[in-house]
Amino acid sequence: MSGIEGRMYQPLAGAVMAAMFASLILAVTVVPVVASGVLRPTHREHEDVPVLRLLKRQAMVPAETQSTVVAEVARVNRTRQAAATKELSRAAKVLLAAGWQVDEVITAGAPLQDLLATVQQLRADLLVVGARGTTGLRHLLVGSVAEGALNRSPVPVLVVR
Amino acid sequence: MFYDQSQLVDGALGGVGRAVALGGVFVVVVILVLLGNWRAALLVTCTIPVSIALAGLLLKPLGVGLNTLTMGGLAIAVGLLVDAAIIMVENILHRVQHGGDVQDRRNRARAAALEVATPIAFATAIVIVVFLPLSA
Repeated sequence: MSGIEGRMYQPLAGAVMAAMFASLILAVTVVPVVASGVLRPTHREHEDVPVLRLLKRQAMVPAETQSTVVAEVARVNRTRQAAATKELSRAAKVLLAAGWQVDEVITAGAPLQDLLATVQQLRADLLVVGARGTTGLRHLLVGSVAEGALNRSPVPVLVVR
Repeated sequence: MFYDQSQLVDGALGGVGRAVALGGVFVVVVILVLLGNWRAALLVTCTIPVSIALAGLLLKPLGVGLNTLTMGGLAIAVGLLVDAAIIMVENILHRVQHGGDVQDRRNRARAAALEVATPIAFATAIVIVVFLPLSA
């Protein structure tokens, strides 16, 4: 910059830059040395600074709400687990009748991930999945397990419609 | 009756000087409240005048004196220059919080300092670079 504004801003910017440079030099040289001598262990339980702790406490869910949510999740899990067991034993019966040996595995988690993990764990030769044929927005958001399996399964995949 | 320029200079410098000092006080209050450790806060506070003094030493050979404009620059810098020290002190405090003997604390402080030295250098360099075109 030149002219009057240059004459005005040059010293200002120079002062800021010099001060920043000085603070950097201080922060990486003297400050750590002094800090290691001056700072004492506080043996505090919390690692956060007081203000953060206060904010976290405010954001915490009350204990009763927490226990209600936990109980509700457990209830839903039990219902789902029971339904899954029933469905699975029905499918197992068909396979057993056809002369296959059947191991039943039920997992709770992300469908595709658990499916692929189980495939690896059991050293399966083939993965058979059902496709429900979701379309539109739902498909975009949720995707389909069958599609994911087709893309990522280490073994051949048979998709049943 | 004669014209005394020193009164004018005194007045101008005094005003900006007060602004710098007041800015410093605000910074200290914020550090104390947020850091919650008076030793750490005191250490960070000490870096303000030392940094500014060091800046003065750097500016002198460049032919930039202490005037209203450089004081204004320093007032801006007061808020920015504590960042480096705060990050450093906070990280060291975090590491030495759980005790150990002097040697152990020193080692951990060293590790903490090395950990944040590069990020601090980058952050400060960016602020300096931003002001570079203004000073050219």
